[in-house]
Amino acid sequence: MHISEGILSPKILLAGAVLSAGGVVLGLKKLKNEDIPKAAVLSSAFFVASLIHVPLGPASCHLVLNGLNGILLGWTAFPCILLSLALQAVLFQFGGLTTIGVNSFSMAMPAVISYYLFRTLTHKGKKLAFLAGFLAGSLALLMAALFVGLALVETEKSFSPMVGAFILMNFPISLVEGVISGFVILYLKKVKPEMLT
Amino acid sequence: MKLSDSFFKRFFRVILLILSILTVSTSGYAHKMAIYAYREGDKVFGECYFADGSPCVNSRVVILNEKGAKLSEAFTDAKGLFSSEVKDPGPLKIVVMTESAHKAELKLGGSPQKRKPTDENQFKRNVVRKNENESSQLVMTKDELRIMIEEITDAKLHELRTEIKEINKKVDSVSARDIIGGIGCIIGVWALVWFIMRRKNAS
Repeated sequence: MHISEGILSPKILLAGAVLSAGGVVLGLKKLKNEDIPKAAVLSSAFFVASLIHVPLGPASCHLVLNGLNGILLGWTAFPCILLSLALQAVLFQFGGLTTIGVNSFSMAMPAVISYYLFRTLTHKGKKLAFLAGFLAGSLALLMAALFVGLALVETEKSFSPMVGAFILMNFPISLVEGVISGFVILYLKKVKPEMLT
Repeated sequence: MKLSDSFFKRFFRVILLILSILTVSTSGYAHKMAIYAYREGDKVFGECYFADGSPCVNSRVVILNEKGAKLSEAFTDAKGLFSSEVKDPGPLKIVVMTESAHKAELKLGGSPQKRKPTDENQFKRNVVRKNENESSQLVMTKDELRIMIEEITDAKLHELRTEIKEINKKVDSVSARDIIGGIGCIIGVWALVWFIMRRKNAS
């Protein structure tokens, strides 16, 4: 899911950096003191999730958990994801420092969209809360794959056949991620419902 | 809005069925990519793999010279291995790119200049073998001797290269120390944010 260095054009890199910076500023402005532990835990979960590779289909993809981040944090998902991606780039050489803006935006924006689409459903019954988590988890990942694909196509048109393949490749993992996110939401609803407010 | 139990049961069954079908297939891609390559005469041999050691299958390998001009192109096989003929003895840049837009680069030093074939008449050497009853003469040119030594050295070096490749793979893989360190950094940064916000609120 991370775009490596030296692939995207400077125009796309700059656009990604500007959009991500805007998201981070907005996320920090909306951040409340009591949400900081939650943000730290979700940042860590995002950071570690990329190391969990799931062998599905012709490709073995990794978890992202951006949907879960989004539904629980809203705009604060931006600084969380940025921080995790920065550390992944420095410690594991996943992605890169120049692509951090594009990578952050492509993963955090779907998280925010999931927040607005499914947040209210988490306040309903258990089944709907699970469904909200499932949809947030799976759709956020597929949207992230679409954003990554679009960034590649904007750089070079020859990448266009890659977009469909990229989304298809991430489809199996989106189901896994949906189930994980659904169960996490269900669990939080049971043990700590205030986290969903 | 109410959803029935049967709907959920069916929903789970479908998801589990899809996942179980897909899990049967083999794995292929991960994240950080690394290349290990070496030259042997006019050929470049290499292997491309991800951080978890899995091979980069069917990835495009482009070999460029110092100035960035393309010298040759190849594709990795099912084991992530590739080989390509490169006649340029100068330093090379090997670029591998997967279908999922992962990219890795490696710079390879120039190969030692090949010696021109020597003048046979000048350097012909006789190696004399003596048997118990009769003596026989084995004539070998200096070039033939050099090729023979190179072949023996290559065979010996193969084991060494395999060992280096395994060491590289271990170095490139993600360690538990990095993961714990990363989580520590995240907690530290958020603690700093909390501290700044608290001070800001207090003032």
